[in-house]
Formats: sequence, structure tokens, C-alpha cells
Amino acid sequence: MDSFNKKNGPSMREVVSYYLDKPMNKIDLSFLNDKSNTKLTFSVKDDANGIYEIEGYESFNNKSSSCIDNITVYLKIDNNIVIDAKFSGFGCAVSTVSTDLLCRIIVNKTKEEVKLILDNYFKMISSEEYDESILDDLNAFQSVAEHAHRIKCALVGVNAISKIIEKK
Amino acid sequence: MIHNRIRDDFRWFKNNPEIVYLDSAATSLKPYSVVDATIKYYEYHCTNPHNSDSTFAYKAHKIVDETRKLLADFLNANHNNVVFTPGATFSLNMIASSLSKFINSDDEIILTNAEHASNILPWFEIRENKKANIVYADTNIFDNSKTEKNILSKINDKTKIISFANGTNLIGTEIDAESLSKKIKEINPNIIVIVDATQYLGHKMMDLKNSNIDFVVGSAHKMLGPTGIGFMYINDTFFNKINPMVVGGGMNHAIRKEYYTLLDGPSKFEAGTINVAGIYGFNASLKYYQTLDMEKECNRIYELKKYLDDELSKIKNITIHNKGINSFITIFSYDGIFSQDLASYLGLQNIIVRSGLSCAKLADEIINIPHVVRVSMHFYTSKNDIDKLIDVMKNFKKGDEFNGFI
Repeated sequence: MDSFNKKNGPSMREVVSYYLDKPMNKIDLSFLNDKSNTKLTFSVKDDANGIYEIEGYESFNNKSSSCIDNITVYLKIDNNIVIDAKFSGFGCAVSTVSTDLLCRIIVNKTKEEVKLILDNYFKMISSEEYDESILDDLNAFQSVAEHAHRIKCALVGVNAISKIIEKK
Repeated sequence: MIHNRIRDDFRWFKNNPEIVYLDSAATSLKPYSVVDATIKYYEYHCTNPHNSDSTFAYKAHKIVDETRKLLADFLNANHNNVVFTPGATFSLNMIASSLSKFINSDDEIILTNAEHASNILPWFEIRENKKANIVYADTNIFDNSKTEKNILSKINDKTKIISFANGTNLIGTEIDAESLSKKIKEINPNIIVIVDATQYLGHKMMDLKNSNIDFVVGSAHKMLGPTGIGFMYINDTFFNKINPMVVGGGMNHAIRKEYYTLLDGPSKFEAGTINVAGIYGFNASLKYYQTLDMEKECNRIYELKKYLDDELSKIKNITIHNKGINSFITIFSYDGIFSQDLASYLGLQNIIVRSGLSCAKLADEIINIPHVVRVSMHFYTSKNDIDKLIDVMKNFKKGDEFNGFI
């Protein structure tokens, strides 16, 4: 699917609906059974919460306090560059799609570049001025800032990514 | 229509004419008499009920006593067995910690898998500290007698405690606790029976004088009363067997340098200044119940729930998980929509419901789905409220859940 484009591309809602139904970077047991994904070596750590272990990846599990969102992010970082990003678990549309899109956007970026993206994302969610050009499809979540009760959804997976990136 | 009268008693509806409130299992709305009573305490009385040195100061003391009696009447219990606490969660924690001394390793505590977190986690503490075991009885959504049988079938020589809700907060099932307790004690009279009546007491009274239940807990805020005040009923057998879990002022008779003596009666479990304004409000809510034909109102809501279930079932993609049971709660899901996205959409349409598992976090195994939307009613819920929900769900299309923010 093409990236969101304000002028003539798909609408933000189409982007979100599309990735909600067909997440690009989500791993689950079906992923494990899919022979085309054998380049990953991963095992089940906690099936109930959809937490896995992937060889060569750092992971962080994050839950939201007031609902049942439960997302784990897996990053492969080599020489300060994010080589690959995946996530697992479950959550609402806002939490899963924001995590999925961010997993796509941060690949092949240095940690510093990822921090800049995250910084702008946090600003967007907080209704502060930010650089739209570097957030790509994540701009779909611009209006979440106006819905206080959904802001935590937009941060579940994103905070997990931030935790791994900020780690020394 | 008598029901419109009920609605008129809640200023909330005048203040929120656009909002449909369907989250009463989380907390009930309060009639104005309850709100006014709490204000009356602060503006007119405002003395500490521990002070009985003047007729004026004694007013607060009298209201506390009167409320205890009103609550005892609601439970058909002796008022000397009714202890005020901050709420059902606090009560269950107090009961669990005070019963800890009776628990030995390998003893068993029976719970159901539909319990609220507040009737699960306090027992985890005992399991950990005493190397005891927790045994879970399965809840049957559609046949309460099967749930009872499941509980009874878990009893063995090691069973020490059975703690269950007589009204479950997510599944919405109801158990006749008085009758079940008798069956339990017929098997072994030494098993301690604890009933979490938090949901049940919102719309039904209990009959403890004709039962052998040992402990009952509840919260005023589910009973049209204020938050921050609740109770625990302790039967005669345990009243003198357990020690106060919280100590301080108002519960001791004498303090010497090496020891202290306890006051008699409920006071010994009520250390510190209790939530007096909350008790004033609770007093008014219990009096409010006296003005209602509770059985009639209860049956009206049961019928309203069945009407809701029938209408929602006609909508493609919707599954009702507790369809047609006698309950104040309906739980449903919509194929392919995460419950929180749907609840958030309903919120945008001014309908307040709840998503997830509403703290009954073991209950996913009963309904075979990890999360649902919960609709919960109370005596003030009208058919109009339910029709609005049905109407919004009838017009809902996949994608609408993003309305307003994506």
C-alpha cells in the first residue's frame, strides 16, 4: 500500500484500516509456522500474552494500565542501526497500528534518527508542533491528541520501542 | 409511570441530558438525597462521631449508628455484626489477612473463575505466605446450579475457605449465596464462607439471619451511595476470633505501656475516623432503596436486558456472551473490532460502556474471548437508554470506530 498522501493518496482511515487487517511487522504463532519466515529463529516465551523470544533481537513488553493492550516490541540493532523491527501481542487499532507503522519507519535508521522520529511522534500526540515530513503514515494519528482517553493507546508500543532505543 | 419518578431523583440526568449511562456495574449514579446528605454532614454537622461530649456532636454519632442499622436491615443481619470499611476491596483484604492465621500449608481456598480481582489477589497473598493452594471452580453462564455444583465438587478435607461473588461483575451471573452456604456447611461446617455481594446488593437484599455465611462484603457506591465507604459483615463465630487488621484511635478501650484492650462491637474494626460524609450518603441511599419496589424494578431490568440481547443478536457480527440470563449486565463483542475501539466509538456517540474484562481477569476462559464490551444497568436505566444503544449499534459499520480521530 502507498504511503498516506494528503492530496491524492488513500485516506488516513484507509491506511489504518489496511494495516489493522494486514499488519506488516506483527509476529505470532502463524508467523512461526510460515516457512517463508524461517530467517527468524524465535520461540514462545509466554503464549497467553503473545510474548516470544527472537534470537539476536532485544525486546520490551509494555502494557497499558487501564485496558488490556499488551504489546512486545523486538528490535535488531547492529552497529547503532536498527536492522529490523517486529511486534507481537494484542491491543486496539490505535496501539497496534501505531506500533506496526513505527516498526516499518525505523528500519535502516540510526538510533539518533529513531530518537528524532519518536520525539516528533510524542510531540504530535501531545498537540505540540512537530515535523510532519518525518512521520510518514504515522500522521494518521494526529487527532488522537484531542482524545485524552486514547492517548495511552497511541503510546503502548511506541514507548516499548523508546525503551529499547534509549537503553545504552 | 413510576420509573420516570426514579429518573427524576437523579440530578445527573439533568446535568447530562445527552449521555446514556450504561456502566452502573462500575459505579452507580447517586440520587440527590445521597448527594445532599453528604453536603449536610459538612455544612451542618461536621463533628467527629467519636465525640459524644455534647448533644450537638452526638448527631454524627447517631447517623453512623442509624446507618449501621439501616444496612443491617438491608442484609437482614444484626447491626453489631456490620463493620464500616472504605469498600469491598478493603474488606476482602482485611478478611483475607485476618484469616491468614487459620490457614496452614496445603490448605485449599476455593474461588470461582468469574471473581473480580479484589476477590482473587488477597488470596494470592495467603497462598504465597502460607503455601496454601487456590482451587478455581468453573462458572456456568447459563445455569447457576451448575456453578454451585462446580463449587461443591471442589470441596475436600483440605478446603478451608470458599469465597465467591453472588453477583459477578462481568458475566453477570447470580448465585443464591444463603442456600449455597448451607450446602457447603452440610459437607463441612468448618469451611469459612465469604460472599462478595458488591454487585448483588445493588439491586437485591440479603437474608443473613437465615444463613450461616461467615463474611459478606460490599461497597456503597454500587448501591446508589457515595464512593469510599463500604462494609464487611462478620458473623458471631468470627467476630471475636479475628483481630483488627488496622489499629489506632476509636477501636481501643485502654492503652497501657505494655498492652491495650479492644472496644466491643464493630468499633474494634473501625480504627481512625471513618468516612463520615460517606456514611451520611450511604444512610440516604439505604433509605432511598426503602422507597422502591425492588423486586418489581429488578424484574423490569431483567426484562430490559433480555430485550437488549434480542435486539443486538439481530445485528450481524455481534455475539452476546451471556444472552438471556437474569442479569443487569450484557457482554458482547463485534467480529473483527477490538472491544476498546468499539467502546470508544460508543463513547463518541455519548454512550458510556466498558471494554476489556472489567477486572474479572480470569473470566476470559468462561466466555472464550479475551475481551468484550460490557453494558451494565441499574434501576434508573430506561428503555430509551437501551434503544439508543441498539440504534447506534444497528448503524455501526466497520471503520466507524475511527470516527473523530482518524
